[in-house]
Amino acid sequence: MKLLHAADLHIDSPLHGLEKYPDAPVDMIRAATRRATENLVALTLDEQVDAVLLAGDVYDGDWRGYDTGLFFQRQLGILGDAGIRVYLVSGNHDAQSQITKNLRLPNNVRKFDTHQSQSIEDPHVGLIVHGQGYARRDVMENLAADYPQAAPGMFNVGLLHTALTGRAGHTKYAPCSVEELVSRGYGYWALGHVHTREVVSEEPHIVFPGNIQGRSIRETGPKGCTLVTVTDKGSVAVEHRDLDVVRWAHLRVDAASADDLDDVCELVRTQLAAERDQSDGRLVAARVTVTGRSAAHAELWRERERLTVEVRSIAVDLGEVWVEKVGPGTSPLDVGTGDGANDITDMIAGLLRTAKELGTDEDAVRRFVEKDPLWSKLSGDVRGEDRLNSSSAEWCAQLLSEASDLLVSMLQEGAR
Amino acid sequence: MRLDRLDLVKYGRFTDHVLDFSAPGVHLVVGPNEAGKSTMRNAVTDLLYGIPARTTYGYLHGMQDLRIGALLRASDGSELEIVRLKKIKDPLRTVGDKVLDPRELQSILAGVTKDDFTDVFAIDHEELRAGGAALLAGKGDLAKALFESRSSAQLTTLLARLREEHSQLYVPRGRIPVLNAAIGPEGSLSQARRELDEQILRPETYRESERAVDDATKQYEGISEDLKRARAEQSRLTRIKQAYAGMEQRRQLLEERAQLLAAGPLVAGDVGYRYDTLRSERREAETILRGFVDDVREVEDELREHNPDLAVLAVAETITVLHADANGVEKAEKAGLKAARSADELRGQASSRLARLRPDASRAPEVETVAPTLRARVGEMINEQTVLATELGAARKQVKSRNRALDAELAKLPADTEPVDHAPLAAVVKAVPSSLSSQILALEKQYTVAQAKLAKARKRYARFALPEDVGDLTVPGAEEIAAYRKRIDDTDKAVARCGERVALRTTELAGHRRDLENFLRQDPPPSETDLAASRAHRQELWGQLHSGLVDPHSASTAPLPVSEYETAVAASDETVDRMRRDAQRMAERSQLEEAVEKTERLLSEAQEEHKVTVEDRQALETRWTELWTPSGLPVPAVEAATDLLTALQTLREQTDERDALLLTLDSDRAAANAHATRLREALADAGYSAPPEPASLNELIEATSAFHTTLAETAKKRARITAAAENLRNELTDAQSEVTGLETELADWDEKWKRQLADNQLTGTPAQVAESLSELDEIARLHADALRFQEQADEADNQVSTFTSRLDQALADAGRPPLTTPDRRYAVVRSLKEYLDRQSASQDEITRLTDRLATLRGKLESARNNRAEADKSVAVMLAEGLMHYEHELVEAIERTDAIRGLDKQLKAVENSLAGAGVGIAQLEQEVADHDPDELTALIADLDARILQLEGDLGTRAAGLARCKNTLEQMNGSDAAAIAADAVEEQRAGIVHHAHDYLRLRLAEQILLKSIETYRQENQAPVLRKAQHIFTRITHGEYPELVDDTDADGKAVLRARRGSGPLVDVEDMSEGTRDQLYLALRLASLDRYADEGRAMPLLLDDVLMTFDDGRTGAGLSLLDEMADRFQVIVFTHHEHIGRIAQDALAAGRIHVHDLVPASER
Repeated sequence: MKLLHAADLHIDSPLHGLEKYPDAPVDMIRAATRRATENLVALTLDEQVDAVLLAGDVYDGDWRGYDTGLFFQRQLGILGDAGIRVYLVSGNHDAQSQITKNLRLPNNVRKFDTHQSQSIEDPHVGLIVHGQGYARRDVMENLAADYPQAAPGMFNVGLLHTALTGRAGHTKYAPCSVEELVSRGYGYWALGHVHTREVVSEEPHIVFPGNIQGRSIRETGPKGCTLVTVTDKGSVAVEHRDLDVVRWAHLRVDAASADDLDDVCELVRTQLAAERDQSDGRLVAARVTVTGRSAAHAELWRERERLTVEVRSIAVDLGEVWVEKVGPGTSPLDVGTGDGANDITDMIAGLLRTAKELGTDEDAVRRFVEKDPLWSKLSGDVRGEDRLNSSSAEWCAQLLSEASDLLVSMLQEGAR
Repeated sequence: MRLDRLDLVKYGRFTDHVLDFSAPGVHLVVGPNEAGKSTMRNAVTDLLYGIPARTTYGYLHGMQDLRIGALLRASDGSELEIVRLKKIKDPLRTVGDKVLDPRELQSILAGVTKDDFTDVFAIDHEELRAGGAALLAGKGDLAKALFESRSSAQLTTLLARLREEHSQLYVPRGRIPVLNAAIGPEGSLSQARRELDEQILRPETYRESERAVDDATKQYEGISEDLKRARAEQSRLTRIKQAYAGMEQRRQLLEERAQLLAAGPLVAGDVGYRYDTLRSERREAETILRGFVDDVREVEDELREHNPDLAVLAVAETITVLHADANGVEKAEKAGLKAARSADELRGQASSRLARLRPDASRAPEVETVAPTLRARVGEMINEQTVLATELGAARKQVKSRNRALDAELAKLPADTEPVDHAPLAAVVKAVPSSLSSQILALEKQYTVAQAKLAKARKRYARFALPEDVGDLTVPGAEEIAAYRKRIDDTDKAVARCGERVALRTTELAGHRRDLENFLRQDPPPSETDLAASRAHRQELWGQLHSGLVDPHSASTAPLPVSEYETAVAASDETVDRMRRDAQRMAERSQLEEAVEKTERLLSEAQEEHKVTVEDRQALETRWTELWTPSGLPVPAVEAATDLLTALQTLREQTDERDALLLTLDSDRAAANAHATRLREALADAGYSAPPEPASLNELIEATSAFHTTLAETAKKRARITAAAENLRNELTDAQSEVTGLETELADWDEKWKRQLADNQLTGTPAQVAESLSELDEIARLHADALRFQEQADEADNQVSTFTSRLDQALADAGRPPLTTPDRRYAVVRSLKEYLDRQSASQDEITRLTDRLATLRGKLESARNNRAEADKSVAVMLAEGLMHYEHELVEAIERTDAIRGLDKQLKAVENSLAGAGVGIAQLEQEVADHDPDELTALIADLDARILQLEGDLGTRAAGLARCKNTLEQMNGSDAAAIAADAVEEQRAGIVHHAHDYLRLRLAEQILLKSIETYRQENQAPVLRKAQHIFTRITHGEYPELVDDTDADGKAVLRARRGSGPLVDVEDMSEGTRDQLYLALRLASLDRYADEGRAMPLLLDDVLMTFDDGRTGAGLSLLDEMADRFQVIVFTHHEHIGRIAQDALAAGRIHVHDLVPASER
């Protein structure tokens, strides 16, 4: 028996943070989640699987475009034509989505109840799937607790959208423990919600396949689904398959050997080319952070806009690379030893002390940012997670750190 | 340092003027303007730091004669008496005119530069105010002392840069900056959002489209239903109309059918068919019957023709067996004859071979086979002999082979007799550090990198045209350059200031002159000059007139100027009168003239000052050039000098780095050369010629290692050959021993053989003995074979006899003649068999014919039965139809067939009517119900209705198609997703720029706080001190000074009045402001004292705007400071002396009067 397990399709969710610039490969990122979904369907047909398990979050919660639902419906229809059943539980995003409430799904789709656990059997292949979807977005109850014990003589699969006991960056919906899942005696647990692939357990297999397409720099590396093969004796083998069409990568380029910005650009070129070569023909969406103690530190900060332009130009040269963001994260080799060095040292120390003091008041940066005249002019969607997130202590600390680095480098540059 | 005495020997307007400043307390030098107070202040500066080349104080004594002397007291109490001359060479002298080492003076100055002295210690009122103005502007010396270190200036510059950068991204209420343009209602993000909004398909829109399709479908189906009904009705009526003709035909057929039924009885459905079948069967049975009677008769005739021999058939089995055996017996008979011949032949061969082997034998030729033990023993001995002989041969070969191998191995030994010791070579190679070469390579690489780095730096600094060797360049220090740069800046400012002043005075003068000219143009009143001129003219005329009146006989013949005199007197009187009358205008004129005069003077002073500052500037340039002369470098622009120093520093560091690498590299190379030499020597000692120069160390090591390996291998080879030869010798000895042993064993065998022959009465060689034993065995075998052949011949004879007896018996039983010749036995058997076969065939034919006859008789009987059955069936039919004769049956069958034809026609008509889709009964009813004419009208109405419905249906179908098309266009397009991507791209751009902006703004915030903190930390002591002084001077009116920052982050100073508000400096009165400046100035002195660098404080008219109270307070403060700093106050206000004497204790105030030059 072959099963294909995927989750968190988030169809038509745009890729975040990719700023358009001249000659950027715009068309290659367009509707990337759709292309990844099409890849999922193609893989299902190629592998001739017996059933597809979708563990929630097909849509993005706040996305209103009904075309997305129609697209999904059509893809499910292709599987239906091939006689492949699809087992589907709704996730927190689906519960929120207007599309879910309106869309009629093809006959080959078995969508699970959202008010109690349900078991759906396919005697032809000896499969029984247990599942329960989300009735609302914030399900904080333990849904797994209501799942029945394994049915004898069948291959039992548990389909669940959960963060288990908690996963970084994911709300702890439908919490439950691994032991609890194991105790049900199922052959495979097909989980969703966590966007990073993780094999939580191998006896039995409890798997998060991750999402099928990375959507921001927080979701780097290959993305796809899990192909589950069950032998007649009931042993299970799992295999990850890539589905993504755009691959996110965060390149940290060590500029220790660079004397100036041109040297840095060469180092960036080498790493970008290597990343592109490894991406198997996919577009690479890359964030480039230049790191290390470098002689080029001050120039990078002073010419940070030029650095961005140069790196983007390299990306255009290489092709199939979109540079999301370029940031100098270097530190200087040492503070100058020339005339006025003590003054500079004192001033830098003073600046860093002031920045540190500002940092000790956790709310100071947030207050400052939100008081700025620009802040009230920015629309809500520009602020928030992955963007200008003043309510995140981490983001504020990062901004503070960057501001300090900027000042220090400008001072050092001025001292030359 | 203190100035105990100042000797103005020849300086400015002073000549041998001595001032004693040694007493403690405040020294007050009082003198009116132009008395030389400023000269004295400058004299102190020139004394300590040299008289400038272009001084203005040489106007009285000449430049070369200028001379200032002084008794100086260092902070440790030591004294130094010096004389300063205006000379380039040795300007410092002792009192005895001996050259004084400048370092003595330098040490007493404790590093206080001329600029520091003139800026901090020797100041006048103007400088005090200029410092105040600079303070307000956040610049200048005083501000520097208070707020602006070099560092905070950098911070301020940085602040300006940050603001410039973030203003390029966003400004409140701006339109141009990137973010302003992007986030507005017409910005790119809003635009992209609108496009997305247009592309979004909402679920409710889709539902509406679905509903529209449903509605249109329902409407379409409704009309479609109506149309269907109308068509059905039309179809029904048309059907009725069309059914009239069919129904008439049906009626006629039914009538015809009824007539036939009335004509007579009918038969059952299959009677006709059955009757036809029976008639055919009856005819066929009669034909067959006749055929079978003929056949029976024919078979009976054939039977009578057959009569077989029963006697022979009785012994058929015996004959068949004999016939079967005959071939085998005949073959056995022939084989028996052949075996008898072979037995005879073998017996003959055995006899003749035995006779040859044993001629003397008298016995019959039966020979027993040789005893197996003897034959085995003889064979073993022969084998033993063969093995021994073979082994002996092999052992002998081995001896020869080992001999040859030993010779060959010995031949391989190297020719040299004395092997070379290779150990020293290994030692010398081992002595070379393994990393030396790689270290040299690494160093060379590092050196190349350092060289490239240096070249890169040189290229970067090519604009300075620096020489190759920058190590020994004597260049000015950074401090010197900074100081010089500051002086240049100050001088430039002074030039500009003086230039401005000249321009101002020139403008003022032009204005005054214009006013005066205007005044004079309008009948100006006479001036004192006019009056004087008029009086002088009158006096002159009076002189002429007086001499003529006193001495009428004078030689002069000219008439007396009486009338001119009278005119002149009148004119003078008129002038006086006018002066009296126009006193007001006179005063006005006088003021105008004074203003012109004063402005001319001021202009002249300003021009002079400007000239001096320009000269100072030129002098500074000259000095700048001189500063760089020792370096031999092209003189850099002042602003590029710091960069040049940085370049030099960089080049020096990089050169040092390179040289250090070169040093290490040279050292390693030397070590490598030493090792190379040792390697060469070791090779030479070992008798090997080293690789020619310039072989590298690695090559030498390789060569030495290779040679060492060669030597080691040679030694190993020698040892290996020697060991091999020894082995071969041992093997040779073993082989020789084996030969001897085998020879002994062979001799033993000979003995045993001889004994064996004797024991068995055998002779001959082992081969001959073996051959004899084989021959005996062969003879015995021939005898045995002869016996076996004889047994076969006897067996064949027995078979033939038995066969012949059986044949005789069979002939007798069959009644056949007996065997006359035994040789014919086989021919007789075959003939008898042929006869038997013929009789058997005749018997078989009789059996077959008998069976056939029985079969034919059965069939004949069956045919007769069939004919009877048919007759019986016809009779039954007649009975069933209640008929008596067969023709009645035939007629009934014909009627039945006719009715059947009518029924078919009826069926066809009714089928045709049934095409209308309703039953005949219903059709009959419908036809009966409708009138044909009415039907036509109804059908026409229905046609019209159908036409209308079809039109409506078309319209609805088009509407439905439109709705469906709309719905189908909502097909899951990705247009909205693509638009969302575009929105995200715009949003990412805004996030990017906004992040940059916020970073810059936060950096600005950090910087502002840092500047504030920096000031608070670094300037607070000075401010505290200034606050103390200011409070004292103002008698507590201003108890607090606040070092504040304005909105631009710039330092500002404010004072708190009482416990009330903060007052900006520009809002203070002139006097208070001066007092504040003095307080700040005095406060900044403490650090000099703390550093042991106190200098005399020369304050020139700085108290001029103070009221008496504050002057007293100020002097009192100065007195308090006087023990740390020598205080010398210059003033032109005599009352200050009085105030001082009131305010200060006796002995703490020392007044020095200066006599003005005009009174000297």
